[in-house]
Amino acid sequence: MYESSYNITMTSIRKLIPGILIPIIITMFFSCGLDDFKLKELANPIDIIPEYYAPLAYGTFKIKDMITANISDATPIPVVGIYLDPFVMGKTNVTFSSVAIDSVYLINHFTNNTPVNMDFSYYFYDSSTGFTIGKTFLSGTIRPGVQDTLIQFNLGRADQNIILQSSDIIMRFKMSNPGVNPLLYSNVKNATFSIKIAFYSPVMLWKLK
Amino acid sequence: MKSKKGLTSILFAIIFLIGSERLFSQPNTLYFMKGIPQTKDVNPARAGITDGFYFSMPLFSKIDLSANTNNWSYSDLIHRGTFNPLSNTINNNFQTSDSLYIDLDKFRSSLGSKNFIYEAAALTILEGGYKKGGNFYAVSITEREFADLFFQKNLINLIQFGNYPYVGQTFYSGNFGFNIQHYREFTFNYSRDLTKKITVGGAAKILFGMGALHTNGINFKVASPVFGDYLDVATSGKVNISAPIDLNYTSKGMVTSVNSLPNYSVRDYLTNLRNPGIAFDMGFSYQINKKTELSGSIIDLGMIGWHSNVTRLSEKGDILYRGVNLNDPSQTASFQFQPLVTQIKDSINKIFRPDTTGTSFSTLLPTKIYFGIDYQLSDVVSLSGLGRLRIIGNTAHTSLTAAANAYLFNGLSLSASYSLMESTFDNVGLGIGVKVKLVQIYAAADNLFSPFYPSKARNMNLRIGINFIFGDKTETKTRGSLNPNCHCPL
Repeated sequence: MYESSYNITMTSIRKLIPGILIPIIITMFFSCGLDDFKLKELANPIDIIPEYYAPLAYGTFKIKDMITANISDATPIPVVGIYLDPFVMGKTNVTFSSVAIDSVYLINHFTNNTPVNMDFSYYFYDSSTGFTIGKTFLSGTIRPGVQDTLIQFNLGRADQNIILQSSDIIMRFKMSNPGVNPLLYSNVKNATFSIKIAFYSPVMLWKLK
Repeated sequence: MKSKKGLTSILFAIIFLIGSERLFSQPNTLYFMKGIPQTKDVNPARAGITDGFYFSMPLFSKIDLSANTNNWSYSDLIHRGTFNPLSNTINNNFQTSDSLYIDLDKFRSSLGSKNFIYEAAALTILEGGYKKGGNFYAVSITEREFADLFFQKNLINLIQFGNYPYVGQTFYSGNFGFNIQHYREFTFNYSRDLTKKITVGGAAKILFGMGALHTNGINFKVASPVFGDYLDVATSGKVNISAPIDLNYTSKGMVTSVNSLPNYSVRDYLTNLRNPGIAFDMGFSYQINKKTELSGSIIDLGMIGWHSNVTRLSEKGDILYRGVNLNDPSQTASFQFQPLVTQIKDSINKIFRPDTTGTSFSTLLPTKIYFGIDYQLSDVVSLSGLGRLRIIGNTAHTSLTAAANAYLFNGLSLSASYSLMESTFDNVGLGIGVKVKLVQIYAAADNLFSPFYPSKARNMNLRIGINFIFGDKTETKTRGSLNPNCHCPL
């Protein structure tokens, strides 16, 4: 009696289990979402734009070291200013451009420990033509005593192309009388100023292929 | 004839499942299943048969597949959606989706501070066991492989936002790395009913490592002051490799390429006996009273020593990068970037050059600790609770499982379970074992639904096996009555 009911039940189970399992498996195969694994349909990650930062250069300069011309100590510093010797940074074989970078932000922190106003500019020079190319980036006036003031330049795609074409990057400093009292070269020649140059740039990773 | 047809259907189903890529250990659900000899794999004191002997299907004795994360899924990182350029966000609405997107915002929000993805697979080639009286013996040969990738959320922050937001502070990557091991396991099980209430069991495992890649403490930090005057970059970490590969280096010690060893065949790999290891399993079960049983086990307490084809890379470097010093060249008025860039590259290469040795190393197995309680509700149904602690590297991962188990009609073992695993709450599992005459087919998984939505799954595991059981008198000896010392069918 017990054995026969057992056999009936086992027979039912044998039918039931495949009857349940197979439809479940078929359903699983035809319904489950494997769509997300079709990586060929992956769009460019245009919203992922990390910003990278790195220091580029730094220096502390004494004014007299930046003037090679003979200037007497009694020479007054005019309000219109005197240019110091340009700082020429040869960039032969060094490229700055990347297709993944649309903008580069040149970050300058300037400390003016001189009694004069200071300003600086960047421009680009092509030694093959002997001309400067592209636009000049001007800092504006930096008053005496200012510490670590931030001056930021945005170098767009066009500026980057200019850099690419140029042979040298030229940085030029200028000192000028703040205009309150007369100032002589002897008052400023041993004074120092410093600059820290860094860059940060949003990088479109999806363009790095 | 009918039973043959039924078995064929089940076999077809199982092979179909295995053939798919969608099933991905040793499910907790298996622990309390009745009448399955392989419950000894999760507690060697639980033999699963009361008498007689069994062997498993040669080459296909049992298969374990598992994959799990700490509560993040593939679809958190990659999913369908529509990009909204105005808000610079990805619309997660499936109805309007047009493409697959990498969604780092969603991915980061689903991550914890420490994250991992773990995968394991095992194939038992041969297994057999014998129980006579209170003694149970079993042997098996299993190929095992496991891999885990671990990282901290900070690393994803750096990938998504870059280092600019960290100017003025110190960025710590936290430890990250990747481990993978493949080894062969020869297991010898023994359990004994010490008294009518207490059973103890153990397994000695002789291991032979085939290949391993093991990383240890890889991390880096980037510090910079408020005005970003410098970047202080420090890295450290170790990579141990035992595999038939050849690393090529530059004259400065940087790894440039990885090639397979010439004249090293698959056979050489599979018959490599130079990486021996040993592991132990221990377990007990204690019948508190006629209805309640306590049990516990420690599984895979052991290690492998890796001696063949070893490459060990060790890195500890620090560089303070300030950029170019404009002062010196200004005196000559002919500053050139190129030599300075080369100089910086050289100094970075020199500092971040890993030391390489070929000395042996050892790795631990991912040890599991189980503690369970089983309450016999009726002659055929029991309720149980199980806690599992899994130790991978230096991290412990916990899971809790509640299950209802039944053994019906002298051949059908069923378990339904619910588990909390790695902060996931949607783990409804099922274990099923069907024995028809001598043949037993069983399967268990802790999350039934994962295979239906693999991209959203956080836990996937499956155990499938086929046994041939002879002379087990379980059915006639204990049908309908509670055997207080039996961890097998009622």
